[in-house]
Amino acid sequence: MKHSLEEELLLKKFLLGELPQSEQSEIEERLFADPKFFSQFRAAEDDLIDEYLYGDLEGMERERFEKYFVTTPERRESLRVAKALQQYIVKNGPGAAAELVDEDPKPRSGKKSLLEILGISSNTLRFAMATAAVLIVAVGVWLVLPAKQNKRVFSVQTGDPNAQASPTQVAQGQDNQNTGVQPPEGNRSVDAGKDEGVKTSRAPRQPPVRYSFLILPLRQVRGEGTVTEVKLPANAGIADLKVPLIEEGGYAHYQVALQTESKEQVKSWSKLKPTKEDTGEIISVDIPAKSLREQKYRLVLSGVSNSGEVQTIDTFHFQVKKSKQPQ
Amino acid sequence: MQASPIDENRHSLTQERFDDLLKWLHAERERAGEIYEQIRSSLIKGFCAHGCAVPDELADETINRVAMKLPEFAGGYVGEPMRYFRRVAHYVHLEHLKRQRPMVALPDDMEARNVTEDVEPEYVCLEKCMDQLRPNNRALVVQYYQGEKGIKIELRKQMATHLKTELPQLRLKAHRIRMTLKECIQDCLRQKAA
Repeated sequence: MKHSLEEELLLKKFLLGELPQSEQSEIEERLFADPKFFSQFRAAEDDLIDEYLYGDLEGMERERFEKYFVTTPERRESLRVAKALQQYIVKNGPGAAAELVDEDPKPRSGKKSLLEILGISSNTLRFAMATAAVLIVAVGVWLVLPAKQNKRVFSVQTGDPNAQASPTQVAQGQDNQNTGVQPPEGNRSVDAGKDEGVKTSRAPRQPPVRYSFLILPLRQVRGEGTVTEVKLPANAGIADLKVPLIEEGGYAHYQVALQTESKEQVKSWSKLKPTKEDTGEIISVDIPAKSLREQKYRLVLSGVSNSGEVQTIDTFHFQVKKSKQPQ
Repeated sequence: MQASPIDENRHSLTQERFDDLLKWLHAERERAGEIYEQIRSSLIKGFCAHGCAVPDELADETINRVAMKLPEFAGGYVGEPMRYFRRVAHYVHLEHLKRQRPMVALPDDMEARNVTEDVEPEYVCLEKCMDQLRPNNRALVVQYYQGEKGIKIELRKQMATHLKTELPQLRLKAHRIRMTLKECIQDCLRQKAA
């Protein structure tokens, strides 16, 4: 997200009505066209109110705040809430700050996690590393488990071979298990032989099964224009699309819209709750595999607050590839 | 100060207004119809991106408002029509959000400096709402908003480092928690008023 002090200053001037008309119009346009910028705008309203309350607005700015900004019932109420919050913080501040340290989900005991030892600090990187760890474990499991368990293995690929995308593609139908990696050629032939034996005791056609795909945001997939690839085998019945909740939001629930790359709505889901998986919190939606075509799609994830206000959180892109072979 | 291009009331579009709108979009009616459809489609996508539940209704409301305002601005307007539609759409979006969350009314004539004189009702509700937050979120919002200007900036940097995030993300997170609090306080005030 592009964010700078310049942008904050611009929004402040916009809120105080200090911009020339042409710039004012540009901001209005962008506020509609860019939901992330709109979120910044709402945060800038809070900041401006705080500046007023703490006496940081002076002279003309203070006057414009009173005569131009705080003229609607909503902003007056925001000002009163901010004042109440200010009083609460004065009264409770130090104690609550201690809570923040205590409530850290990764308390600093004597032990350090691998990520800390490696000096990896961003949530995104932590998520990617955790995802990679799952991948490594999956490879290990695949190599160790005997093929007679009839575990099927195939890949979720991204356009970039280095991308840390989607290693948790898991086929959950019947006894299929997809650990998300391609076996080495040599091992595959051994498996193929054992599978043959299994197939003799089964109906020749595989029943439709459910396949899960973890879709990562573009910024986590290195290389320009690379997106997560969703490979649907011929027997795929349901595609379970999972998107990570990297930033905790405190939303009442979530909604997801499936759109084509040209932003045409295909399907939407609402009242979604996150589930906890090894890699973190996940929002998951199911769609019949036959509803998906071989093309690029985007999943728009939004959070819904208790009052019903919706904020777009992130957009996840993926490319559907269909195989004629069942897995 | 620039006036909002939005009127307070919703309008229904008459055939005459619609014809004028098409003429403004393009001299050839067929081409104007195509542009109209492109604009409507773009508006629907925009409202979808903001997570609005009724994007087509809001797009139509935007178009109606532009059509009603047309006689006032069309003569002097320079630029792509779509840009004007987006500006109007921003205000339609804001109004849509307001309709979803009605406020507890304050006297219209109250001056800004008097608005914060007695916030006891809000404070009582805030204490209840704070208790409903998860402890970590409560701590975050209190720590984020505490301190004088210079100290506040330094505190926020330390918080971002501690929480392993960036300042802009921390700012949005604090804002979201504050919005949750505000909504909770409004619900609490409404219940008291009822």
